[in-house]
Amino acid sequence: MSEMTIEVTKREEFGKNANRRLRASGLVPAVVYGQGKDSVPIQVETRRIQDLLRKTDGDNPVFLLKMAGTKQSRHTMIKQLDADPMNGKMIHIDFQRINMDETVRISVGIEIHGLAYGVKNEDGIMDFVTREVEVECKPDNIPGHLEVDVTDLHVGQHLEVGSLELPEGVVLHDDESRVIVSVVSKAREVVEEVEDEDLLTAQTEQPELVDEADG
Amino acid sequence: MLMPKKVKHRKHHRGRKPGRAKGGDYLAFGDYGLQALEAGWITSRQIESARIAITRHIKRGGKVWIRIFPDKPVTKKPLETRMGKGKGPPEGWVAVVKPGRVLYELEGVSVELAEEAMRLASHKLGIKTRFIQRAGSHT
Repeated sequence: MSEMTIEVTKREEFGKNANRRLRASGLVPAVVYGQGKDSVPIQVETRRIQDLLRKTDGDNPVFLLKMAGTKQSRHTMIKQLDADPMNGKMIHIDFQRINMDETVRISVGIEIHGLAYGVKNEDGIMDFVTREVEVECKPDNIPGHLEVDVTDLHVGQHLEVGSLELPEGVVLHDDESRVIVSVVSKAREVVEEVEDEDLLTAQTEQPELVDEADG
Repeated sequence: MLMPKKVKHRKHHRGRKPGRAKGGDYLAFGDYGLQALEAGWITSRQIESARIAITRHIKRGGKVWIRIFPDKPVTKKPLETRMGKGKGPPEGWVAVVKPGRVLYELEGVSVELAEEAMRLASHKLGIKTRFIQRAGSHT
């Protein structure tokens, strides 16, 4: 995984209003924490980090944060990225300090390859149940995603987490019996004969009241 | 129709709906979804009606998830009743929805079919919505 360098500056102003002004000026408030050290409030250029995130393969990029005006630099990963659900604009970023020599536990996405035999020839539906698995590896060894080939899956068959082919140096930390993807037959959907008028006139029975004494 | 099995209080305050969805604002299960663009109350009847619209359109195949649950009781005064004399009896159940909330999810159908199913469902709801889909959708 390629390492991305980003220049950051220390944040001097805090609070809702200051952060709103910051976002309006093209910066995004962030914080760096972890490894038993004090947290440091920082600010990052929104456009720069968006460009970097667009280029990355996967959800676990490693950043080398360089404090502007100093020689300080630190390897970090994004622990949490808060974004507006409506327009996707970044609100805040949490960077967690990492040591490049120590392993990290992260969630890696699963990508499906091919079209299942059961879907193509047996009129089945593919149910993609588990989209991420937890793995442990060194930061420079993080896979962008894990691939699963489903071409041989017939109706009624499934693939489990244990069957994932992991790259060298990556250890699985998830339940091996978890189903990743299954092909199920297209059961005829039972469409209830509920007319719209029935919905309008349906009487709502009252639910049971939880007795306060029972907790 | 969806409603809680047990409740602590029979009647709730109406409340306010400020801000945007705090959770449930991303696709968690399926490849396609219907996302709220406005805040509002979605009644259990609307939820059921929209679900039926989706399942009827996709006919067979596909899997539908309902991501909201109507856990708030709404009351209504009986007709031709004078004001006062206390809050009216419970009339139904609503889900409080804020902008960004994913209402329904769908998987196992083509994008065209999903888009049309969600369009039909959106007409059953009292708020503006939009169709969303996962970036790396496999269907």
